Amino acid sequence: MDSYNNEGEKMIIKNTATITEAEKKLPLAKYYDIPLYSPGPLEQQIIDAGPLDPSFALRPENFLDLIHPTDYQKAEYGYCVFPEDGGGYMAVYTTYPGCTPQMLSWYFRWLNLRSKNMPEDQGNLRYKIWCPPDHWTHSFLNDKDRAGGVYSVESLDLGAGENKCEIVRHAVDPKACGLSEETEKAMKEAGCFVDCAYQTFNFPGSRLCLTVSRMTPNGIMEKISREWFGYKIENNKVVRDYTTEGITEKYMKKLLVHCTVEAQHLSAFLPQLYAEYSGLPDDAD
Amino acid sequence: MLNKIKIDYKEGETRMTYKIPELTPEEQALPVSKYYTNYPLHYPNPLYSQLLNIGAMDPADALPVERWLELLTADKYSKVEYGYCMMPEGYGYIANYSVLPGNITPEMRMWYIRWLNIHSKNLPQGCGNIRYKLWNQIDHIDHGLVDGDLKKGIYTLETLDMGRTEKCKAIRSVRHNFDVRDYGVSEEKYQALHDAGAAITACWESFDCPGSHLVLSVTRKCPLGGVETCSREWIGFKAENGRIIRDNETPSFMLCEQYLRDVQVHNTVEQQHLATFLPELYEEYSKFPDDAD
Repeated sequence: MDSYNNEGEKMIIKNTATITEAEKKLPLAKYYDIPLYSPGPLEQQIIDAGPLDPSFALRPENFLDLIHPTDYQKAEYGYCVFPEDGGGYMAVYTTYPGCTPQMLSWYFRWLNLRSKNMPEDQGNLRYKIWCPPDHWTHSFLNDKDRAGGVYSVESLDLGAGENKCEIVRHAVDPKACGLSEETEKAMKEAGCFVDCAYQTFNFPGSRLCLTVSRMTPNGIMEKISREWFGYKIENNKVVRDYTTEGITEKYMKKLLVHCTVEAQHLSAFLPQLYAEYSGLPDDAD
Repeated sequence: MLNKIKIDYKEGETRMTYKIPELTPEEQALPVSKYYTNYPLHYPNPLYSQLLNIGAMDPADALPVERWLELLTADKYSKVEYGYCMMPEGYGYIANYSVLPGNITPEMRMWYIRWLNIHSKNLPQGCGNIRYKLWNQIDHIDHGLVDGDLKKGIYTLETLDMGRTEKCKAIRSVRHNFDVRDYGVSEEKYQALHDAGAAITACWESFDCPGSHLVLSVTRKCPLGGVETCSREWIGFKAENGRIIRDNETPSFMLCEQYLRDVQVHNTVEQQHLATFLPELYEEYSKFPDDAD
């Protein structure tokens, strides 16, 4: 990973991607040039410690255990490959000072929409600003909402040169998978935001994803995420998708670094973006 | 490796709060006591907890005392910014990293660091200093200027193990601030750090019992927002007449992994906690006379 190096310094990740002149003219383009930083020192130390002991990981069949208004798991950050079935696991913990779950919910809808002067065939600038070296495009498959699936194109190596892959995100209803009404009510009352989906790709395979956004006891928004690579939801049950290719510790580590960097970055610009765009029409440039 | 870690809490417990000792009725009557009772003291956040549970760091990744001034950079991190260990030479080492969010301004921090040394007019005798207790309700007892004179140092009375030992066993320490320019930092480098917005704190601590801790920290803008502090403690060293000196009288209870871990947890908890109550405290008390209750 040539563009990523956190040894001994606060590294700004070199953005090897560029945007077109037409994109540069959009007012939103100012968010594209905000410096992107490699993982913070605490996260980097955990990454350097190597993979998690899988016994500290949350098994995919227990994914609903993550949905809780206050609790933490034993290990909230790290990656591993499960020895039992070869599936991949990633846990990311990020705080978002100055942000709220409502801001995050707004961004995850808004980034699927195109602004009126966004050039065709150049991806989606609203997604690119989130992680400039890796992100290309993001959209609702039904042009309306996430119920029909969400399409995205991205790479994971922070611009080191790998091919971008196509992803379709299929929404999952935790309640249909067994989340109790009691927990759902507790989450709503605590102002938590839950996002659950499984992804399929332009190559064989699936990935189950779950994110809980909530306020910490210290009044800062925290995002607790998990991804289980090689698993999907079928008939409201988690199943292992053995067609999934490329599940290795190296891949899971790459995914963790990418997710950490993009989460840190979103936290840096979301309050300003929300203040500027949330009151404007959906197609504002 | 995390496969070697000792998990010493159950799932869900990391969000738990510490049980806070009750104030005396006289202290409870002071208006400032609401900052003691209204802000729960939380365990270290999940990232800190995970690193603490890895156990002692590899001494090879520590900044040895003979290279202590290498901490002073405006934009670099060490490989390990958070950890503790006993060094092969027999002294203790603690690396701490913390971030205060952007709503905590330098003015607030400077104001609190001065204000907490002043006793309010109706502070009861023999109960310590409630202004200091707010910062860490479990461990903090008293804080003030030695003989009322900053030049003589700042004294602190606290325990360091989040309530495991009784308060009566707290040890009084005196903090002796010094200027790193008297210890080998060139005027040019000092100015460059200052121009880059990096603030340096250097001191050594002595105790009622024998022993010394050398402390150095650099506070600067965090690239991800807020202000970050990278600090180091070398247990068993002091600063004297422009030289860093090994204090061979430092007792064995300070020179073990358990003590270092306790100090690390204490420092982490109080740093997290400061960010919770300081904005409201500053808003209310910074406009009052220094001795307001």
